[in-house]
Amino acid sequence: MARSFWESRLPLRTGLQRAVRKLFPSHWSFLLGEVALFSFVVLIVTGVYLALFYRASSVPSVYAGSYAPMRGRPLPEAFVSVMTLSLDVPFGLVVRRMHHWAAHLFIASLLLHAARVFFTGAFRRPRELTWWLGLAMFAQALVSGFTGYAIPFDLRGGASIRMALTTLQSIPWVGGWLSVLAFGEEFPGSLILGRLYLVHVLLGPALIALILLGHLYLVVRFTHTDYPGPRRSESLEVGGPAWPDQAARSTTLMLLVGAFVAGLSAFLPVEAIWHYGPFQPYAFYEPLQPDWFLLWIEGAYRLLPPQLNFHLIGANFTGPFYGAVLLPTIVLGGCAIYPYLEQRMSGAIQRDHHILEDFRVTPFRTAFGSAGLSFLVLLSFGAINDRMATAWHMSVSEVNVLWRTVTLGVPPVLFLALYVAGRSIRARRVGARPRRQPFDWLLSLATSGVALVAAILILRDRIRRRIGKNRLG
Amino acid sequence: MSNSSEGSGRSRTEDEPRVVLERRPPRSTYLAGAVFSLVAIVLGAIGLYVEYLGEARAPLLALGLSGLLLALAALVLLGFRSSFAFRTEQGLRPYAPPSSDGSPGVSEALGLSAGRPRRIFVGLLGTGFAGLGAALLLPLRSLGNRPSEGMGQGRWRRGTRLMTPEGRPVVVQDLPVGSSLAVVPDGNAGDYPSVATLVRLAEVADSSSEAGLRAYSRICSHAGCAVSIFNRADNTLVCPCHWSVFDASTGAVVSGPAPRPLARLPIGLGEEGYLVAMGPLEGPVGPPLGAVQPTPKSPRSRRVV
Repeated sequence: MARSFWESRLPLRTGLQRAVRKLFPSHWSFLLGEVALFSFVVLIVTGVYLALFYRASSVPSVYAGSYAPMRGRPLPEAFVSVMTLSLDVPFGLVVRRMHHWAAHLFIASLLLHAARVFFTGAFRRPRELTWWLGLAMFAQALVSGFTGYAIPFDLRGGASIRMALTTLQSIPWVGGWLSVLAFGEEFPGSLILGRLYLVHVLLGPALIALILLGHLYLVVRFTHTDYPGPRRSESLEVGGPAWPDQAARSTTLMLLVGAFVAGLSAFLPVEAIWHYGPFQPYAFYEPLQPDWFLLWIEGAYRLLPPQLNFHLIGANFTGPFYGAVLLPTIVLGGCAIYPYLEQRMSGAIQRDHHILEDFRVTPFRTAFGSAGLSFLVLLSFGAINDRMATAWHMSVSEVNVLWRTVTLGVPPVLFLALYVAGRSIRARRVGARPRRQPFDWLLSLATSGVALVAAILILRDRIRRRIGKNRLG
Repeated sequence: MSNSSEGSGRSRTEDEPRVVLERRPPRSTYLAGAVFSLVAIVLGAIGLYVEYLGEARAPLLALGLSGLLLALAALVLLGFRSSFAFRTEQGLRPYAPPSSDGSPGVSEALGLSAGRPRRIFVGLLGTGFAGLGAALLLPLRSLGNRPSEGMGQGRWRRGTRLMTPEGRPVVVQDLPVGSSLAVVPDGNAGDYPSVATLVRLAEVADSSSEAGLRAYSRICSHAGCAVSIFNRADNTLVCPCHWSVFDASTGAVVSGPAPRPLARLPIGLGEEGYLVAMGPLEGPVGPPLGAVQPTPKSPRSRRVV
């Protein structure tokens, strides 16, 4: 058999043979990660295009574009370049909108993918590394989402940079130094846009791409997991081969992701930066919220009471630190050590798992994951306390008291309810006595303790307010 | 041949048992759908061009692109389905490569060795993606403005004062005999194609004050560097970038790689004895473009006087 030009130069025969025979399970939920992958592809393509127009500079330049109310005004170059791209470059706004919606789809699909992995136990041995890489990618995706929001240097972007500065400064002991090193000059300065831009277009994508390669390598190495079903087991996998089944599915999916993102761009405008105007240190816009995937941090910013602040050997512990540093560390760190915790708690023998678990037969995991998610969702709603106050005819501080109670109260209750219900469901489904989980009730107790502490904190807040009122009256 | 047995205990994969559980043969009815999708792609691309060349409204462009990608997705799926048997297989974990000896070539591995189905598959998908490629030329087109006629011809007009780069108007007395000066148009000091060289030739028959004054585009017609040297002894203007040499009396090429003369700037005396341009630069400025440009109307014909 004659070898083609490419075959005689590249390891195509063996490599392709190997790749072509990789089996992919057929369940749709395995495509969530692919949606994230293809959103990333759309992000790279559209991002390169946007970078051809963007100027990472806050130096004022006179705007001469087609938006009449701002014509002739000196505006930051970054802002002007995004204005020009949006309003005066045919297709520019389309690409900007596609980049925006692809970013949201990227993070949303990462979240759904992670939820699928979590609630089916796909993170179990031997796939802990894959899980960690996914978490790292999610963290970087949040950073990239943030920097992308910031660099047009409109009013919102500038405000978010200011909050990033506060966050950096709030880190105990080293915050001042970190902020000086990151910004280089007094805020806003002329350096920070270029640095954020570098993070957004080079470091971030490079890191995500590297993590992605590692993640995919491990997926191939460990094979896909699969749901329980006929003819598959811990040692046998069932699915369609990479070629032609999965090639057809994936290519179709990639084009569908592109079509979906373009379709969103046709109907949903991205935030029109000309409504907000350029960043001005003296101006603000109300109500203002970050993108949805950062609302939980914003919610913590708004809901954390200053009573929690304290000094400790030369350090200040304050709200921004709790909300934007400690909270993400706890959430992502908790996700990272969860496989280990679960293994320890269940007391089961260490072995490899390839068949997924039904979330109905894993009451602890389901209850814990749901409670955690509900906490983050409720916290996210805390970020719209101003809108809730308007809608409910309350003052913002009243909403804060109410929402602190809800955010701290609902998750433990949800945990207990789901756990108790889950145990009986499992007993019915599995029939036999479930495997022992000796730490179950200990954990329930601990969660109830957290709820109790929360209640006390809230009560304390109430009492203080009452005292304050009396004093004023 | 290849050391595929990584680690230990993987030798069982040498002849890995693969069980085909299900086989869905290709169906020719899919082909009709694929062709239909292809038509939709072509129509989508045409629609995008029409809107782009018209009002270029963002929502419509996005909608067109979305529709095109949707049709392409359908084409890919139907194209695959009409050309391949899809299988569900059962195999051993962990996945390991089959032995490499006697493995088939790329076309065989992809199941693309047959004649007509292969041509149809490649043709369908090739045309579909070509349609996407044609649509993606549009955002590329937006990267810059059309190279307009007269761009790079400078901003000299009849009556424009000659200024030094520092912003002083120029009088004849500024220029000793046999010297040169860089000049820019009044009000457009930063305009790159306008920069010019004013020279006062050393040997002229007429001794009137304006005689022997010449002005040329300072941009070399070879590679666009500044023609910054006036060689009084040879009466030449020299570009030190690649050593093109021009006649200081006419602007014609004397030696070097330059393909055409320097554009001449007609000058005269204006009010208060300041030097002014008598019209725009005469002839093309700078190096020729790779594409043949429509010849601009000769500025000379528009000159008054």
